[in-house]
Amino acid sequence: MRVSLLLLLSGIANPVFAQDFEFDETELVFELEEIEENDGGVEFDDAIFETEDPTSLALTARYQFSRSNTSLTTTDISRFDLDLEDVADWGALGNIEWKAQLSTQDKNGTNTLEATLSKFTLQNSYEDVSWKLGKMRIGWGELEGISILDIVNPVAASSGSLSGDADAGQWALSADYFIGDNTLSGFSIVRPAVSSEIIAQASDNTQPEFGLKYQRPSGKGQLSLYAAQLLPQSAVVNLGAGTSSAQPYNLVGVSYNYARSGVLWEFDLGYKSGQERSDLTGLSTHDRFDLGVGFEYALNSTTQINMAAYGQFWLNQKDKYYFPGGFEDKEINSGYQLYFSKSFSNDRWNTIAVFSGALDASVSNQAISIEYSGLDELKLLASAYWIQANSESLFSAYDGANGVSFSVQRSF
Amino acid sequence: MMSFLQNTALGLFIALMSMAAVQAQSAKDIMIMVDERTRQQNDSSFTILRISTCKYGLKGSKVKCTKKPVVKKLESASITVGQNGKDIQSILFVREPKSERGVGMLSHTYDDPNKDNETWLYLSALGKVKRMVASNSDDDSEPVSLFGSEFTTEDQETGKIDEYEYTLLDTVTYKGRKAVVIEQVPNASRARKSRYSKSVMWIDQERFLMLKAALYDRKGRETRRIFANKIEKINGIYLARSVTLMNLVESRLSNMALLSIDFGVDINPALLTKRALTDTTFREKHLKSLRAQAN
Repeated sequence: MRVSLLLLLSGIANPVFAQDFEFDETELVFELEEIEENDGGVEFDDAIFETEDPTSLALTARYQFSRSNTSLTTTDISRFDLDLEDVADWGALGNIEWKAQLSTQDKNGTNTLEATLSKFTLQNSYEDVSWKLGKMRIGWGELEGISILDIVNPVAASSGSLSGDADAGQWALSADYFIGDNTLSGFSIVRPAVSSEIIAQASDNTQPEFGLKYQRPSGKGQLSLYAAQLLPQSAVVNLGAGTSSAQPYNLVGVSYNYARSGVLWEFDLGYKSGQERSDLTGLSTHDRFDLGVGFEYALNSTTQINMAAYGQFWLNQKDKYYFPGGFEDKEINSGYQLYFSKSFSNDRWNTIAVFSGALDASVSNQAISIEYSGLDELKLLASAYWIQANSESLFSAYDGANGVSFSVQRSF
Repeated sequence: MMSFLQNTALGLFIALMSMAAVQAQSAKDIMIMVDERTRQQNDSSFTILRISTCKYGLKGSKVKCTKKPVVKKLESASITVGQNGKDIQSILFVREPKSERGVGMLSHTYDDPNKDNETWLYLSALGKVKRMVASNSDDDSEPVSLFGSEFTTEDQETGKIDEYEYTLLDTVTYKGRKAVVIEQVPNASRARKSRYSKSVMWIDQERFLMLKAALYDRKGRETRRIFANKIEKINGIYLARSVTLMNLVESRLSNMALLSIDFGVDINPALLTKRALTDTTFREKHLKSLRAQAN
């Protein structure tokens, strides 16, 4: 619930304020004596607001400073983003939505500038069929932030892009067929992007991604079934050959949400076959079950708790497999995520605390953030995180890492 | 979340609606009738609302915004369904500001206490429609702001008549109307959850419409005032098309303007499904039809 409130209550500003903004009789004017005497009229003439804004273009400016520390380095990033987004009705062609971002960043003295088209979609529908073409995100599953079914096609966070835009997606065609309360959805991504930062792939990936989802109400919740051919978000490093690879794997899955007594239970299960792993001699393909269970509970209208646990279970594992750096890819990997949010002061202050990590305690992460949106035109955000990891963890290099960030955002 | 939606702007206006000419015998009778009328009028309604919020100051003898108001424009449609029409399906879309345009929230509220309410929201950052957890226990809910305005869910709650004691303080003439002044004091249980120790309301004696309210904090200080204006009779119902809440402590005010409203609108139930959250052309086609029907 807090998510929706955060979205809906985010303060938006209008440009060019004067501290003594002069309203004329067409605007907000109260006769003080009438208020005091309790027997007069209080007039609110809303004529001034009837005029539609001639432009539908939304502009957001954001400045962020962050400092992150590991045992070896300190990284300071000073960054300025300018987001532009708009929607337009193209008549019989449908509706266009787009979002672009211009970013300039100073990272320990190195300056970069990047323009990103994070979203561009043409959407239309006819009878019971809706379709969308363009650069978009497609989300599957119930649990957020846990890669069981989750978002099908994110650009991997390690892709090197400056863009911190959460909306960044990939070029895809998606369609929905609405059958009463049920929905059959499909998508196709002809050239999915795959991150391969450690060792570049020898050639660009040419395999497509495509999938189907069937969703229907069931009892006090909703049941969804999935089948897809997907590619890994990050290429798998072949430790024997010193190359990297991104071959498609198959996914079948099921997700379910169920509400009872104010608790929303969420369940994701995926079977992924043909996933590549590397031992010390080369790559081979394997099958894996991914399972996640969580719940969301709103203690009241300002406080919410989310908890989730998940696991990855490789099937028929007989040998040892490794990630780059010599870290073992264990037969079973499991983790947890605890999320707590609370708002104060008429929702002007919003705080979030997140605790996550591995169930075997090999790595853990704590993060807190606080946002202030009481200045109408401005939004302020501060956050901090800490990481602990033992020497056997893939994240051992981040043991003791911490960071803080501050940002200010204004929308026009 | 459904309680949140129920308590959005539409709820406030409905709460301020007049009743038929009922001879109220006590302050509590008036509140009971207002509540009953509210439930009756929640079917097939379509509203366009605008919430404007600003910091205000005194200039001469007038109270004025000292900054350009932050404006949120919303559209909402709701129908009643289920046995005896006690379940409510509603959908709300943000039209302005531009950066929030198209954000939609679908809610299905069930009268059956054993069935959890459902609220759905399209999250573009996740690329999916997500079901939101709802705090079903309104009793335990803390008041939250409506769309960043000074209005809170508590300011527009309906029902819960038995959680307050009412006293008829006076009979006055207010803005040319005969009005009764009623004091509303929460009982011990309610007081623990409320930010107010009491409210004093001016209610039109003939139309049974709230014209004004003064709200007092736990220390007994008047912290908020509500004014209802632009009283009109629409579809046989008196209602206030403009309601202003002044936060006397923070010198901020919010005005909720009912740009259009209609009851008994022909709402296609398909609009009140998850499809409307993602299918823009489908949604706009239905909303255009509703806008054409609305006053």
